[in-house]
Amino acid sequence: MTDLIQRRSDDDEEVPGGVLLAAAAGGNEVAWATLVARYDRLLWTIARMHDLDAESAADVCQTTWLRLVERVDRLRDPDRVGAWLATTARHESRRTLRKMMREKARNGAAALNRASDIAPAPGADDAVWHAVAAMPERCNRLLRLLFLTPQPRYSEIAAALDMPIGSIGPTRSRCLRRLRTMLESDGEGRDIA
Amino acid sequence: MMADSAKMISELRTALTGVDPVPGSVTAAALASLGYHRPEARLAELAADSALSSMAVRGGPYAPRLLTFTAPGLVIEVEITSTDDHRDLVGHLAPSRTADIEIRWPGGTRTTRADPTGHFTAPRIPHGPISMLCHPTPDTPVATTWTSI
Repeated sequence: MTDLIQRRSDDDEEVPGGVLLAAAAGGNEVAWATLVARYDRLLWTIARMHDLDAESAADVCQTTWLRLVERVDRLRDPDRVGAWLATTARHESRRTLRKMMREKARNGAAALNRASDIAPAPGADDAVWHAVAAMPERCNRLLRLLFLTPQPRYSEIAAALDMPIGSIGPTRSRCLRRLRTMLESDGEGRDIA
Repeated sequence: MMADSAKMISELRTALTGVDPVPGSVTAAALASLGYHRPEARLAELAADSALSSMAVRGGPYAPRLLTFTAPGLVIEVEITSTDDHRDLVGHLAPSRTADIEIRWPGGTRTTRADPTGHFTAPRIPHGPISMLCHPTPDTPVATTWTSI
């Protein structure tokens, strides 16, 4: 069934979410697979940026998709399905964290089972990835969402971060300036060494 | 280095695009989710979850997690006791009534029955998302919203 997946691309005229949802509600698996292709990377990233390990992040993604299925024909604003998914994944990630903290209290010394360090992508510049990883949470999360493929819309990023859509642009500029400063000072350090 | 902003953004895109890919099993589970659609069922929303309570957990850390689902005319309460590899469910329907209750999880299902006082039990359910599909004959079935236990 994975061969049904068509990845979102910038120059595509996107089929509106409401059209895909209506088709999926009627059992159209291609429409559903198009939604999965558009949003599974976003949902996975939202779960992982809450520091969840792979098993918990998988639960968050699956719960989020199942919750969409149960209201596939009754979403209030079907064309904003991406923002709805992002909000649901954020809530579910936070719920999972709370549950884990509660289990930690029960198990005493047992540490929270969180994401281990995510390895840099093969072929990518390690320095860039490590600089992003070292950034404050707000910048780290925003940059990870902004440069995802397929690229989320600002309304979806706003829902993922629970942030007003109008502050994404200014925060993006501030985070990119900060990243440049980090990379430049890192570069100078290496030159001296 | 990095004097050029376009170059930095392109390196950023390269660094962030391939990182931490979605596991194939996660995508496969997302694709399979559509098969759980039960359009005939009314939806019972999660009204309360003791795991989200900001107060110290009543009864101490060993107290079971309590979930409350509500649909018009029906409240489903379920206490969940965790062990390492499974969950034990003890539930109650209000108002009290008999009903078949189908406990669904990805990859499995088990049916139990609420007695005339509305009580039901379901031991050894796997952890992860579940939905309880309650058949209070002759009424419309009610499905609890998918919730990870």
